[in-house]
Amino acid sequence: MRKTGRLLLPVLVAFALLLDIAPVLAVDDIVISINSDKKLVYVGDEFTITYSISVTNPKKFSLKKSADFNKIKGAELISTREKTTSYLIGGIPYTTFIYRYTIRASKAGAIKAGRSVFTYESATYKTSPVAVRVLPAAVSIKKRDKVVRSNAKEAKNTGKVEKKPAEVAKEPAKKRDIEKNMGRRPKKQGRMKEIMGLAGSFAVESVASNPSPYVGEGVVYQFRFYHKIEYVGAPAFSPPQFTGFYVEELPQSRGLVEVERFGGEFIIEEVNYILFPLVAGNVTIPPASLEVRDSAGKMNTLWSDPTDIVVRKLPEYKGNVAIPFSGSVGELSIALELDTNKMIVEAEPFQVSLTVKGVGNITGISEPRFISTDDFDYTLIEAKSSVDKEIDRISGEKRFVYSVTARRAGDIPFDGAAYVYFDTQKVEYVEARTKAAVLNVKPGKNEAAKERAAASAISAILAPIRAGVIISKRTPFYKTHYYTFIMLFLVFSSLLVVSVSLKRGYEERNKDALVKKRAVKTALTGIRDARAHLHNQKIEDFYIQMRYLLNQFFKEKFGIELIAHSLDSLAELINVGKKDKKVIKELISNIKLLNYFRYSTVEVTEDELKDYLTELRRTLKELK
Amino acid sequence: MMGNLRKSLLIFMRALVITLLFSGAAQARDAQHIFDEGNKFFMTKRYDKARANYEKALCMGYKDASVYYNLASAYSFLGKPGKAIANLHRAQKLEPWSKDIRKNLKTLTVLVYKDMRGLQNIQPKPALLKSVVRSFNLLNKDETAIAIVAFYSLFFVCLLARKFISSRFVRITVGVTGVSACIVAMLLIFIFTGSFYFDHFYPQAVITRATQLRTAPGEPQNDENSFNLKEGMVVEITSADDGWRKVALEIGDKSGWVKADTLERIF
Repeated sequence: MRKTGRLLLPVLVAFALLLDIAPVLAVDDIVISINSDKKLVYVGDEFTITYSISVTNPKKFSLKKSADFNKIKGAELISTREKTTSYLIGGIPYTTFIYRYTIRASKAGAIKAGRSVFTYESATYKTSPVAVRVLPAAVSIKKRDKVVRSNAKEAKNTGKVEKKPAEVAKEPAKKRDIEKNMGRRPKKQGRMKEIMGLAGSFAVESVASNPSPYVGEGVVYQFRFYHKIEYVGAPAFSPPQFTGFYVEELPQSRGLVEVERFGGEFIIEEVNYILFPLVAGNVTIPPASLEVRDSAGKMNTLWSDPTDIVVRKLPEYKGNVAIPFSGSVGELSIALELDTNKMIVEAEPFQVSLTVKGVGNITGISEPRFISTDDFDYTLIEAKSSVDKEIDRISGEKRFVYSVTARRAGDIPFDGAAYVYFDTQKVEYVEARTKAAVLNVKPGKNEAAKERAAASAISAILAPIRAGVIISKRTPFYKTHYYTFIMLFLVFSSLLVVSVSLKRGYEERNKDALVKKRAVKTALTGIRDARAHLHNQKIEDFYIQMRYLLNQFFKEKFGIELIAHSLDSLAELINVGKKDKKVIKELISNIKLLNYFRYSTVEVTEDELKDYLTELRRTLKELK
Repeated sequence: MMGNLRKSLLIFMRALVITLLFSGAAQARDAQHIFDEGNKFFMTKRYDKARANYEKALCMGYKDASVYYNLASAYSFLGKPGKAIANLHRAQKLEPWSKDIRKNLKTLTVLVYKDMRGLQNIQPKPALLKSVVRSFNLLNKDETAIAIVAFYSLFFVCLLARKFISSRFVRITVGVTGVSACIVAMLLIFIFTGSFYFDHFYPQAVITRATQLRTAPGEPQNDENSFNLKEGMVVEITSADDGWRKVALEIGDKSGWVKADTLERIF
């Protein structure tokens, strides 16, 4: 048992280490990403820093410390949003915590957001700092030929927001002059009147390019900021909630051409969005706001009017049933790319690219439909969007790459693909088709054809699915605290039992040696103390210590109390006591070691000591 | 006064417990319903909808072998053997003893590796420990953990019992039992920890889209000397580099780089 215990001890220690490692390895995946939507901004620009943390066990995640954006120099925290979503990555459910901070740059230089600290599965994660470069607000003069429609409010430099429709209506002639000067074409005369003739220094308006779009048709939403005087610092823009729209931000236009409006010259700055309505009906976009500080240092809050949009339902699609409506609205075209130089072999894949391009919601473009489906198998490999954002529209292309396999050999007509979208200009459904071709497919290897046949037949020989089972959601036992507790208890209890057994075994085997060791240790400690007393001239203490030492020694060694020790009692011990060879040997050595007589109160001469030792030796010889 | 407070607290606690119980039960019912709906879609050959339902159940946290298994079936009927194999591996981790899972996995794997002439001449990698750990399919991780506790408890009990037994024969018997239990527990701990270790440091993945092994990240495709990976092949990820993964084949000593979106990690 002792040997087994000795073997088991390191094994148990190894177990304990392994059990320490296991929970660490059992930590679920965590994916942390931090990004800023802009790396370079101008003073007054807003940008968003997003922390996205995906974990498999949301219960064990917590945000310990967020980067304190309020304390960052040259930046101002506008808003904070938190969101939690769940989705599947590679078959594994992940929960993503999104922390979105909207920040406005107020000073040129560099903005550095500090670290955020997250804890997950008792591990701590620190994010790396995010840096954004801020440039001084540049005024790029750019003349644009744009339509100005109104929906404006004006704030005087006192900071009050006032609406004066009566005054606006008085100056139609002036308005026409302005439009002429600007080279702009008014579309909504009524709304324009509202802002005409106002004499404020700041004004804002929000404009929708199309007040009655179809579902899916892009509408440009512009928030315009007019200022007659230079503002101080950077204005803070708070966009409205675009409920019922898919929204894309368009480039901002700043420091535009100076225009004469409201009886004076104003500079316009615009924030642009493109909105794609998701459902039909009347939608009101709530007011947007802008906070701007005037030259007197006073903060003015300007609110635009709500913007009403009537989203029209698309007409019913009555086209080809085989090629259903894709859901896209805009002006689109489709093109097919096929490498005709490459030999096409039966059952061997070749690549075909379909590109849908035009104006509209490019990222939302769905897959086109292949027309020839009997002789070819299609597998989508890649879908990639390339979007070009302008101030008033989104254009670009979406490219779908397919792996196509011919099912048979010969000259097979390849009709290409088609895409049905709703054209807002023609107000009708348009079916865009690629060019048809005849493909010469070479006969493939028989094995490949057989493999394909086997692949199609394989599904039939699979075991049936599980129906009627109760699916369960539970934390695996090995990930619970119970398991860790039980294992730690078992391991440490076993360690304890084994250690106690080993200790007892050792003590049993080395009983004599241990006694001697203990006695020597006590003696040495006592001598040290005694010497210290001697060194400090505490003679009384020294003698007391030596007496105590001697008593302890004899008590432990021979079980004899020697309170009043004398030469007689020692002689008695040697002569009458345990006349064991080993004991006497030890006694001699210990007496030599301790040299105790020198310090004892018992008066012993050198001769007496010699006699005593001689007596001991004699006894030893007798024993031999 | 105190009585009222206690009464209010009791009512509150009861309401809380009932709410918690029922909310959990409601979610379970929803997930079960989604799963059953998925099965209905599967039976009516609407495999894509079935797949969506199974994935939704997984999203709700129901990581059950049945869900993975049915999802794999849906993927195989949708002609995506890669994803099917990945999900079957996940199901097998939860139910290693299941014959159906093993059968389907074998069927799909045979199809994938059929005609892989290039692989037949390659000697398997001598990774004994990894093979031992990965081929242990008697118990899942949970059951292995319970078995470890059981054997370790037996060892502990034997250790204690020896202290109180005087009969030599019984002491020897108890000692042998204890040591055997300890050895079994050690082996199980080795497998348990090893499976975490290998899953973590040598993660397996399934090719979900046919691709080529490249000698370096970003190398052009259509290199005649490069090796083609078929959809459904199981590989081991050895390193990663910004959208690229270095993989080694599970059988054979081929290794190279593939795009990260062409494979799916099993665990």
